[in-house]
Amino acid sequence: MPSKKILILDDTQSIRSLLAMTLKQMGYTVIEAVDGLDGLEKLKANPDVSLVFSDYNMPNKNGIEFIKEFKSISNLRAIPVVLLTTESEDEKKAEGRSVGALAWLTKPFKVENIQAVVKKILG
Amino acid sequence: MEIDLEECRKLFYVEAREILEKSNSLILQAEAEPENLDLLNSLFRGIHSIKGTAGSVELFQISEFAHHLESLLSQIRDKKISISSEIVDLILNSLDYLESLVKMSESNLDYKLDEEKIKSIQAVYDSSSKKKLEVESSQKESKKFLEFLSSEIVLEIKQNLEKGKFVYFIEILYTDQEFQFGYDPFVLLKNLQNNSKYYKAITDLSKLPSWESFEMDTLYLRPKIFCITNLSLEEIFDLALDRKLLYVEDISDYVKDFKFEITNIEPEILREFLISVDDIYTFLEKALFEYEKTYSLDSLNKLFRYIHTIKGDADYIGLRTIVSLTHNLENYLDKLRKGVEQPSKSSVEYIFEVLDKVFTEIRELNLKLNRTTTANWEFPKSKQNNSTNVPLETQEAYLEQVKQIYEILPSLLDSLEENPTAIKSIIRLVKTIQTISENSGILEGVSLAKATITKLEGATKKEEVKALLLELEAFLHGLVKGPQKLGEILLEQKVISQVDLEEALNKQKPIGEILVESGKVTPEVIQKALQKQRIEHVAKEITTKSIEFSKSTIRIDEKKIDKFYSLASELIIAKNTYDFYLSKLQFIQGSEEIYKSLKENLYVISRLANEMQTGILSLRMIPIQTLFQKYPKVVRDIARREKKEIELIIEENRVEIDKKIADALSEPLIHIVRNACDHGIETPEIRKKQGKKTPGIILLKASYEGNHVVIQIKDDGKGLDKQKILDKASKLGYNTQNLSDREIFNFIFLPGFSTAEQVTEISGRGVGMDVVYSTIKSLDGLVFVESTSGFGTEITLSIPMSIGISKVLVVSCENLKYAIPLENVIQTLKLSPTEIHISQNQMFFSFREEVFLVESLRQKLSHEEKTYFSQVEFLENLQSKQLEVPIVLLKTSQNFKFGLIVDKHEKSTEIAIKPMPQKLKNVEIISGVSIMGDGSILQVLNVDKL
Repeated sequence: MPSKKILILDDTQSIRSLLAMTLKQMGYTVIEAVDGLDGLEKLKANPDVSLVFSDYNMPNKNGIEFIKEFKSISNLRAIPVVLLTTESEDEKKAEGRSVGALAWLTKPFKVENIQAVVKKILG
Repeated sequence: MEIDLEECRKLFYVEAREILEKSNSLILQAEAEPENLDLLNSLFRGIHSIKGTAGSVELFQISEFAHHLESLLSQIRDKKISISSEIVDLILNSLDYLESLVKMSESNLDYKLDEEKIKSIQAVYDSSSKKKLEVESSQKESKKFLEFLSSEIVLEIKQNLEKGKFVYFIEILYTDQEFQFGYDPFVLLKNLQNNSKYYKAITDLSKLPSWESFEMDTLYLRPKIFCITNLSLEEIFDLALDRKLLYVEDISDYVKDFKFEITNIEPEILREFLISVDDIYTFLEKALFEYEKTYSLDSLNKLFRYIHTIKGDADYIGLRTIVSLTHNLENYLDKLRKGVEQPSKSSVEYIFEVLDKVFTEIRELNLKLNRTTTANWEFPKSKQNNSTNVPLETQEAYLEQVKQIYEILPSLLDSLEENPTAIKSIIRLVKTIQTISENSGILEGVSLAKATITKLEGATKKEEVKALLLELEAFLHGLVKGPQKLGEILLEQKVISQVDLEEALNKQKPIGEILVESGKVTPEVIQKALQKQRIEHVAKEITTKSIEFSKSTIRIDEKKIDKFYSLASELIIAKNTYDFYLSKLQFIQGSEEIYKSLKENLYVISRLANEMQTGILSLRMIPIQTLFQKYPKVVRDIARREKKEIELIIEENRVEIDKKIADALSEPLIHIVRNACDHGIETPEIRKKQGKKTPGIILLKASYEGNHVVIQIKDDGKGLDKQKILDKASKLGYNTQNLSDREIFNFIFLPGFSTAEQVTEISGRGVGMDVVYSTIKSLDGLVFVESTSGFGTEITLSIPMSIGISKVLVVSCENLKYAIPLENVIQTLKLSPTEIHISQNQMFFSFREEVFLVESLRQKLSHEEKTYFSQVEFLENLQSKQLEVPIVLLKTSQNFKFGLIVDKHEKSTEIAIKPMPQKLKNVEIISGVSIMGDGSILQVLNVDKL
């Protein structure tokens, strides 16, 4: 069976690498994007993505806007998204929640956290 | 007009005392019968009256205290507070306090109200309104799972429970929002299931809308899960996105402690319950269908009443699951009644569903008793484990759809090789099967489809998929085409050829066996094919229906029975008249033949009439067990409260009594039992000191004795203290000289009599035994008390059974006829006057080496005084007149034997005894009357009083 795809959006290379490595080890195919715009394009091109990890602070389109936009596209709306935040600021969580983020990971995150979140949402 | 305050106050004191005394017994009764509104009303009215009168005679403190007590009682009456033993304590305490206030006022003592007492009352009724909400909601929360937990599930859980594992009840609280944003709670459930040894999900499908209004991103189902896992509470919460989205409750303890209720209930009692449920069922069904059509308030009210009745009955016995199910349904119906909820199709579905669960339980109970019922438990819309009740139209629609799917599947399967995504279409098809099966109520379809889907999720190869679809296919095939024979199946699967099949068929053995033996197929193949056949059969069964019906009981109005009973009695009297005329006929010439035939016929009629009467009488009889059933609880409660160990032994010997008598006896009996527990049986320490065994024993025994039912309550407690009774009696002004034991003990029946030093909340107030006595008397019964200090007490109640036909011996005295119940007659004899001797003022004689006292009926009737001289005179009279003296040797219900001198013995006959008319009831020696065939009146003697 072809493995499920996960899309990662972050402007920091090291974050992307860490996430990608962990997810690939779990058996997922990883698509990387460097900012909101890039992310949108890649998502439209791969509507069968099962999960999205998105950073909050990015140039060209930040996480919140990215989520808002792709959630308004009907065939992409139901894709779950996890926000990556730098500090556990409550306003960001609430904001994320209101646009549709299902969960958060706070940087720096450990491998276990990544695995747990994926398990929670994808099983 | 001058009002003398003192005079008025005096009247008040008397009235208050009366009311307080009554209130004491009322609250105790109310404790035993919390549902009896009359008791609570009377209680309230009494205190209310005290409050008012106290105020008018300017006893303001008393009025104030009464006011607080009144408020408390009002809330109890309005069911805002329930009667717990603490509340009863509080009330009894308050009544006592009120009484003391009255006393102090009467003796002109100064007093000030004890604030503490008032506060304790206020605490209860103030917080009751606040507490109620809290209690209700927390109760609701903690007992939430009970609504969904049936005994089957508990059994399963128990079987799977191991050490170190927990049982949880989990409810999904996710909202549409998460669902829309891409989170499927299904993932969580899957995770949970993977971590659980046992997993059971209960889904409320009533929330699913019809296809037209179905919205893709709305979360309709929030299943409830029972699971056994070694995950901790935290770990379970971690499975969810957010703690708040999950409700988790650890019910391990509840499950561990759960005992099967059914084994603790007497079958008789259970049977009664099931009979009454049977009765309600038809009405319930009717009301439900009416409500479904009209949503009328009338049908809703009916529904509510029936559910409420079932709940009450179940509660009485202790069927917890049924109670909680009906309780929740009741709440829901109430919401509908009040308009808080709007009725809709889904509300009706919900009602059906809960009732379904209730009746599944009830069905189980019936099975356990091997009982057939009148009720067809299958609610047509319910989702049960067998679908033999699917209405015909739905079946046809379902079959249509299934047929279509059945036809598409093979081609999809074939395309699987080129197009791997066809698997998705296949899965979708199977999902469709699942949904339509659900909508049609065909559960086998649902479960098969579900199982198939889960397996299919991981499959890719065509073979794999085909194998997985095998069962489902068989099911569909069975529905569409009917089950195939094994040979056909194998043929289809191309495992054997037609020739093989025929060859095998010609032999006698089952075809599968033969084929295996001849090496044509392997046993595994046979097994799989057999399985397919089995499934097809199941599918076929769905298309046929069968309903079993059997009636076993009818409920009858008590009044009708009474009417028939009097009719039967009169019939017997009429028959007796027949007898009389017949005897006249005897003397008419030439009528011998007719006389003979008539006489024979009379025997027949006689027998029939008697049988009928006894039969009707037996209709009213209920086993005394029903009366006794609540006593073990009473005893246990008291024992626990007083920290005593008491064992209640019941010997009811299949005794049956008339329902009316049972109802009347209920109170007195409870009181006596309470007394035995409270004042009779000592604490374990005292008992040990006295060398008595713990636990203390109370024996409750019922038996027949002649025409009477005898109930004995015997305990091995400390017995009655004669001296104390005598002291109290003389204090009250009674003569205490020369009393027999029996007479001393009879003092306890006086109102207000109690030698208890410590009044407990249960007894010792002196208001119980007099009620007992008067009730028994009103039933024409007798009470006897025997007691030995230090060893125990025995109270015997002897109640005559319902009036019936009794066999009596007729005697005459001074040309009037009297009847003596045959059970009191030992024998009749004739003595010569010389055999009767006199000592002091008593006559006696000896017979068969026994000495008996003898009385003269004539003397008794004329109330002559018995002196030595009158007896001598009487005897001389006899000696001069007769050769022989007719005597009837009698025994009383206490087995005391004596003789009765009559004028003549007549014959023995049967009569219907009617009770004495009210005005003549004071004549103690006559217990009843009857009319003879010739119209003359027969008085029935009460042997005990002679």
